[in-house]
Amino acid sequence: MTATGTTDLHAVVDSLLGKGNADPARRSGYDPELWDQLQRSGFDRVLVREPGDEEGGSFSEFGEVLTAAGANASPVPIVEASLASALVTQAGRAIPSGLIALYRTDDPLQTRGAVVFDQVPYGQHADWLTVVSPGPDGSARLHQANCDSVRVVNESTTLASEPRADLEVNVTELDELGVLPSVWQVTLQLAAARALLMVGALQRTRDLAVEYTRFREQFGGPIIRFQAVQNLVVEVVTAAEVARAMCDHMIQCIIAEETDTRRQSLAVAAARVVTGESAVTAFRAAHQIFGAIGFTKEHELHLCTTRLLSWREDDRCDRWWAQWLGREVRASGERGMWQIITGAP
Amino acid sequence: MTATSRYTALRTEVRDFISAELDSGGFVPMCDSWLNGHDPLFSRRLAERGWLGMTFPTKYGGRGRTALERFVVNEELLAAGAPVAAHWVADRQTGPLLLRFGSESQKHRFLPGIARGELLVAIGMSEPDSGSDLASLKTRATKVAGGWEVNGTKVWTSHAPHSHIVVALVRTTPRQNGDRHAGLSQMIIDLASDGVAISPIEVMTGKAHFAEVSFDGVFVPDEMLIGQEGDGWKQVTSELAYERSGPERFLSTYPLMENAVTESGPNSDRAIGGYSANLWALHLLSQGVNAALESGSVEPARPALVKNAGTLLEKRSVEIARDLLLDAVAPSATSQRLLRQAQLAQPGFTLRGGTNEVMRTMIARRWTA
Repeated sequence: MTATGTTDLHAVVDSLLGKGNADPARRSGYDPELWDQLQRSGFDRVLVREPGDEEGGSFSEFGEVLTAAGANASPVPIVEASLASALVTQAGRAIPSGLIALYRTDDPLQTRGAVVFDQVPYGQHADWLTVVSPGPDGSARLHQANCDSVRVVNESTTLASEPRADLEVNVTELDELGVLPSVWQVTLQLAAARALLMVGALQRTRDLAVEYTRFREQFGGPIIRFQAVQNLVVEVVTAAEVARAMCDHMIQCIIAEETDTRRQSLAVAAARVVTGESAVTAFRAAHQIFGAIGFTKEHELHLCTTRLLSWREDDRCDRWWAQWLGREVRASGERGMWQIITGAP
Repeated sequence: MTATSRYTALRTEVRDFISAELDSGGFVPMCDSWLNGHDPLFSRRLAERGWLGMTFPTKYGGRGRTALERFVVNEELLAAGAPVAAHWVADRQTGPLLLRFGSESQKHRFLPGIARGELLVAIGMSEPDSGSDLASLKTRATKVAGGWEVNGTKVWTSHAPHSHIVVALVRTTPRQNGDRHAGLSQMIIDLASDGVAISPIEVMTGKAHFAEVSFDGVFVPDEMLIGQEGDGWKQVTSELAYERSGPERFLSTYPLMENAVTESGPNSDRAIGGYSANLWALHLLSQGVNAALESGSVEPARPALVKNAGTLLEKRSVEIARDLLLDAVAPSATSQRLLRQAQLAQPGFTLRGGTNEVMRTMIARRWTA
């Protein structure tokens, strides 16, 4: 399969998302016009599989959209809204129009009264709130409320200045849409999607850094002449490449092992660990390359680099996934690590 | 089916062989087994199973299998710490070198022996004054009747005392202004020839895989020149892609890691998960390069990136293993032995196969050209 970020789909989405990039000020908060364009182009639906449609719902295509969104630091909840659309369809319901927020919890929903969902991505801008929570016998329930019934009780931002909101709703306003296989499946999809956003941001960070070293001149020539700078370039390049290789394989496992949740889970965990480490390495090396100018608000570098640090915290942070993976390795017996890596028990 | 799971049956075959070997005391697992585990009888047992010369065409004694199948077999052997050093360079690069650049006569003469694990090969590249700057080498081959006369000294020539031939990079045309890579050639030199002197060099691990090989008026027949005179640099560059991209660039410490994980205490999950994920990623990168080599050529910066990242992971793994064993309830004598081996061996990880500094220059150049 082709490496993530190299397909025509990626190029098209990248072009669409790139159009809004000229003014960095526009890239904070939420960009409803950009979201509207994405929706009209159908790029929020690539994960949707209609009943009877064998071709739809490609995680590989989703990956291409996500890497473009990550690279452009697009101020839209592409992960949550795309996944929500897919889950709603999976439950046999129609996708509502507007912006859909997604919240995932491991705690069963209370049966009455008001509940507060905290730190919902772009929650203050959403038209619909979709909730995934545990159902009976290991399954998951999908609920949805129109945001007319939802109250924003607190707003905050992530490390990368992306909007979050605490949303209060009475459980009677939450319509049950249906049942899904498990909460864990949704956890995996969210975590995988976050890793793919990071791959895009890593690639963009790398491209910016590489270009800068070629054209920034000091001491009579481009700074790439200095080995100390070459070492920094290698760090960013390697960080992006290692993350890409692990995420390419993660996508393969998701697509190929649709019934083998364990294999998918292992690959997602490894991808989250690797992207988390690459995030810090690329962050430090790229900012070192750019010097003071890259540290400014005006320069675009921080848009990607802060997202790298922020996204590694989301949908279970990278260290949580490292612990999960380590536990699985230890529980797999003496040759466990090698068996997991080679996919051969 | 993912690219990985396609090879499950082959991995199982190799693992069964390794189990049987371990049960019968065929070998003791070690770190750096591809460098320190020199066991010609083990190499022959592998050859009998068809796991040497796998990618050589059958008419030269090979099995006509793919580069990825070979990669899988070697990964399994290194993960088990199996003693593959005796045939390692012959199988990895000398065979492919002859297949690509050798004459028909050379292919028929040398490839079957490599595939049987009988012909042991050393690589003569580095010299006392030419390490990273290989092109500055001084070993000279002067034309004489029927062949060449070779004078000079090679160093860091692994396993030369136990090898039959050395593939030596020599200067056949004096250096002119301009292209410093021109005028170099590779020759197959019989180590039993008059004028060859070999002395082992012991390293700080206590092992003596290194050697110095001096050539004092050594006669090399014409038919031992590989390919065209003057094509030495081109040949070496293509060999290096194989040398840099293999599982020996990230699995050298795996036997230690496996023991450390098995013996680790309850608070080790995060460290184990961190290492496992990184090892997985390097395995995928390395596999990717080998898959690309299968279809032809690969941009040199790609194996360089794998080598740089993989060997740095090997170094980090030594400290991770140490931490795991410090918290272990009952660290075994085996683990302690492997940890000591790895600690002493680690300078070599990032020096051999082209130092990481040179690798980083190549990577930076490719990305900023």
